[in-house]
Amino acid sequence: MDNPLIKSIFKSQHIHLAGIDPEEDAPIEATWMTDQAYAEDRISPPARPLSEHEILIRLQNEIKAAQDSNSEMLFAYRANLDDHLVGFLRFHNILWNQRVGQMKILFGGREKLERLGREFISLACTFAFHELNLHRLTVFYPDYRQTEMDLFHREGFRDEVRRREAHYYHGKYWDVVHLGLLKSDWNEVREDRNDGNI
Amino acid sequence: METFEGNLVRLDPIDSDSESELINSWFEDGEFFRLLDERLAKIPTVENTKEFIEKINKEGFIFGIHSRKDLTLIGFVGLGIINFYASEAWVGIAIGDRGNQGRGYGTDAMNVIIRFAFLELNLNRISLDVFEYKNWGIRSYEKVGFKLEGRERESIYRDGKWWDTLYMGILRKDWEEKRIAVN
Repeated sequence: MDNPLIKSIFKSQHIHLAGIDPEEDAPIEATWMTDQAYAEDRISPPARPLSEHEILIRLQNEIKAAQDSNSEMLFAYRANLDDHLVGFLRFHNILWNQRVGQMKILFGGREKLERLGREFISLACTFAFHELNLHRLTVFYPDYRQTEMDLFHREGFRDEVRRREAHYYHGKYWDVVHLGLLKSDWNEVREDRNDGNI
Repeated sequence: METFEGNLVRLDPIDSDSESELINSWFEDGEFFRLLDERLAKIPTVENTKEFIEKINKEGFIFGIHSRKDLTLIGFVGLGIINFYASEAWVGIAIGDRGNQGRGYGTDAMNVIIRFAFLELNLNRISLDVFEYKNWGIRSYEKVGFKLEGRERESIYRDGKWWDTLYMGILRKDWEEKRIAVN
């Protein structure tokens, strides 16, 4: 009998999910903090540069907080080729009784976003729907982050809510968009692509 | 008009020693919790209720909704997740006894807290979310001036069915326009 399980919930063609190693990962993340979009996603406003030491402390605290919480999970994305850190994945506000959760993906630099962005999202969704057994996922972006939102649209996410003027940036109010993906939307996208095994 | 006074109600601090027991009794009606929250409905202890009130007061504001007529406690309304960086806060409201629902107390209390948020806290927008089955609540929020900004599909599973969560928001400029129109 064929194994009904998908090939891997942790690994895709170029990247895999792994634990965070604060000592090893902090110096790499420090190089990404000069990218304004990354810094904005990484810390609550206002975005600001963080030193390697501050990042190390932050990563240690975040790992501890996720371990103590039953509604949060943290991962590193690493390259299959050499295990090099390429980004982070965080599930938060998971409500197990409702089978819903929120997600934040940190793409380690513009080049990773363009080259591997869809793979980052696809791997996160595979884990959310196949292992966490969630029914829906939500991500949030201010509406000037069109590149990221387009990537999520291509994986089946739909714009569901537009909170008017809920973000203030560069002297101007921007809408915050809630993008939602149901497991059924995601299955449709995969069937259309005929990539049942990711 | 006083900052914390409406036509039917006034907002006062909740006396957690003398009023927690009454608030706690509202949670014994399972529907009360299921209109308020998407977490597992459970009956808190009086101590839990006191902690709940203190926690919101620490991070934001919670007020008791008291009848102007006889000063009885009808419900509570609070502002939380206040983000002064983006001038936004989230509002939540609950009316205790079912007999007091649908009598205009909630709408009146919401008008008072919105005025406080815009004129005292100087915020730019107030947000709320509401389950789609709480249709009388949605009508009340629309009366206050909230606009529907979208719905998260199938985000709550109750009584064997998926329901959407609606998101509504009111901007300071919407509220000012409405005030000018009313006056």
